[in-house]
Amino acid sequence: MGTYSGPLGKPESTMAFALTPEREQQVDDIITRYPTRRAALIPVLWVCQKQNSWISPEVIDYVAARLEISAAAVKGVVTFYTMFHEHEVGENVVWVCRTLSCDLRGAKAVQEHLEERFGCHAGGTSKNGKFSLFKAECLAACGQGPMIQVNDRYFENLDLTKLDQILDAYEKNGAEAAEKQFADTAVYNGHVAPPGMEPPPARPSVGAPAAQKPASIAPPKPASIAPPKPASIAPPPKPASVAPPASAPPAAARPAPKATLVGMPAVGASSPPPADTAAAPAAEDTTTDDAKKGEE
Amino acid sequence: MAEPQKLLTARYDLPESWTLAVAEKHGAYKIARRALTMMQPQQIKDEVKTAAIRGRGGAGFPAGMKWGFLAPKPTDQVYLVVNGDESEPGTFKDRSIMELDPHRLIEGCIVTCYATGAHVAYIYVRGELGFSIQRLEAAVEEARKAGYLGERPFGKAYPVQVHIHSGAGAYICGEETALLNSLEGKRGEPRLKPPFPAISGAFGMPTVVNNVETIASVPDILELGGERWAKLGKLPGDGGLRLYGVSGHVKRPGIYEAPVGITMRELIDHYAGGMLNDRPLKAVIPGGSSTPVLRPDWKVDAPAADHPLHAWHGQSEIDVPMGVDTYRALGTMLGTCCAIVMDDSVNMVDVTRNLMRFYKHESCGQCTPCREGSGWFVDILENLCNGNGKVEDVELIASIANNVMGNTICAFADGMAMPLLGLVRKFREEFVAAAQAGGLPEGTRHDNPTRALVEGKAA
Ligand SMILES: Cc1cc2nc3c(=O)[nH]c(=O)nc-3n(C[C@H](O)[C@H](O)[C@H](O)COP(=O)(O)O)c2cc1C
Ligand code: FES
Repeated sequence: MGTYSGPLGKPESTMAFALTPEREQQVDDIITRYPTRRAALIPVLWVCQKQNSWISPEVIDYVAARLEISAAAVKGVVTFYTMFHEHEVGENVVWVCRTLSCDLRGAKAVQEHLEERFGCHAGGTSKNGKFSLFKAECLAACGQGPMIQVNDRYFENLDLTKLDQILDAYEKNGAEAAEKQFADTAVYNGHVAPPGMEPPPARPSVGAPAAQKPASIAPPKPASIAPPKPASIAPPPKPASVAPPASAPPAAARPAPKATLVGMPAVGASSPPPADTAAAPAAEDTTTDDAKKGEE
Repeated sequence: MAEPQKLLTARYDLPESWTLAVAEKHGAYKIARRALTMMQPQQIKDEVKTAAIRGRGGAGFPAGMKWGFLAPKPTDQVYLVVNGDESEPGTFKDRSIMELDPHRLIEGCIVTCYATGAHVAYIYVRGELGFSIQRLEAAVEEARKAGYLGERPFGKAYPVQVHIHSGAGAYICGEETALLNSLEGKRGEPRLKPPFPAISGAFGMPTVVNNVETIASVPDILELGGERWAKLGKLPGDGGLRLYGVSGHVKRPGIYEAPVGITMRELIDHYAGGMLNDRPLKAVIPGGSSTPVLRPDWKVDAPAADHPLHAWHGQSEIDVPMGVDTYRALGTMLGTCCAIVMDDSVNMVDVTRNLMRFYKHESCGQCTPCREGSGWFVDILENLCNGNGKVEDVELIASIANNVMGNTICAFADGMAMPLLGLVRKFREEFVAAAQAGGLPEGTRHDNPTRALVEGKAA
């Protein structure tokens, strides 16, 4: 690699990075989509990584000069996002999801198998340089776990046999052929309700079907459930039982109510089962009657 | 007339459902054409308001109301930004729309742009979803060629452009202001609110930010009419059909379209086919990892006749209809409506550690309570799991969580602390047991029932 360049994003290396003419055209197109040049930064970094396989210092200088921003600004973005590689990687990059849903379906066994096969830990590259392995957080394939991502393709509902077949294909025939071979697995291929699946039958066990008692489940105080602000995913808990008065100020950026949990008072309108069942430890085959009901 | 049971997923099963030819043959762009040529923007906004559609991205804010906050000055350029970041653990629903029916989303963008006065829509898709991006880009290209996007969609002099913008791996970019920063080519660090995006969003301009599913539902709302669409849901003030996801220990994990207001028990038993290996249900995280856990053996405690959940007093938590307001009354959140189901083999301390590792990895680092708190949670939970924990650690977790909540720029920290407090509250005995017994009990690891399956050694 060339020497690192100077400040102000001006490439000084004798091996300055350059995109192919087609990719230069692509960058021109991307820039027209946004009112500012800087907004093209992440898409342009993608184009560069596609060509160079990682974001080298030369790439940073190139992008900075191309988008007329500082190299520091580019570097700040590169370091923020996990998918931009700050170091050289193997021919293929494998991500294994280890977040809860996948882990519940055996993702740990997948990671162990990959580490054994590649002879490296997550974060490393196999000795033959074919694969770099990374541990990923939830990749939006939770219903089809365990899963891996290879380059930009997903492989889901894995078991170790299928996993080896996929990796063999990448190793022997290259990425393009492997992607073709497994083309149909890339798209969302989990369950959806089969055609004609009826909604569940009316529920006799549930005290009152909602439709018949609309009044009783109407939100208690509209103000408390619809603060006039564009929403964010997790406002502080506002259980109905402690709903603020209708005149309460809208929840602001700094939510006030705090659940003091140390004494474990109920936060919402629910309560534990009687003490004897509540204390059941989570060991194999130790099931409370109530928990069994969850299965009916 | 029989009410439709499938709207968003109606075209999923068609061969080549993602192409313009197939989608259009089955109704795509019919509504956009009608909206642009025969309706006034205000009419569309009114229908969406009547439909009582609650945002599908997690917070459940009424979309019609959000659109109403826009008050652009004549010189302003309004933007529509569609949130396809889909990174909340357990959530995998938007992806099915983008991959199997991208034209539904683009049609929603055209109608929403017209209704809100925007001419440019950006669909921000998380970088990992290469396939979704590919399908969306191909669909945009098809729609442009057909003249549905561009200077005169459907002959109407109302230019609409849709651009696909790829992220690069950061959960926090799902938070709307972080997403806007990321869109502008910056680090995905959330902004202080106010100003809200409706006032100052993308590039400092008034901006509507909505989830993929929210926008994809807009054409159906216009097709059925807001009132009829609202009534598809079983709860007042929370209308329509929506996508439910189920993952974890069930027989048929996946995406199911159903009315708002089915119960968690119905979702698990009816749609997802029941529990894997018929083991008992122990706990379910109802709407993505940021929503507090439910326990089937906990009962609704709402004796007062005017309590919103009174009708379910004494029943299991999982028998309460799934709605934004009902779940909030229960002390949890509906979130993204994608449930993570766990059977009795899991240890909840182990589960908590897994989730907190996620939050530690994804905290953007701007606010000290969140950055440091997430690290502390992981350290303490590692200690508890590895046998180095103390009973006092359980209180310590709760006290740190209480100090993290509400003290940060965005809701990420609340989304971390709330489910943590819920887990500690509802499974306190397991945390204490881990401290006292010097680690996790033998045979309680969260991948126990499935490990053999994956290894191909299942009996
Ligand atoms: C930490 C965090 C992550 C979020 N992630 C997402 C996401 O992945 N997708 C999404 O649509 N909304 C996400 N949101 C919610 C958005 O901030 C915003 O409320 C939503 O996109 C608005 O769309 P809606 O009203 O249609 O739901 C997240 C919020 C927070 C605080
Ligand atoms: S948990 Fe693995 S994809 Fe969501």
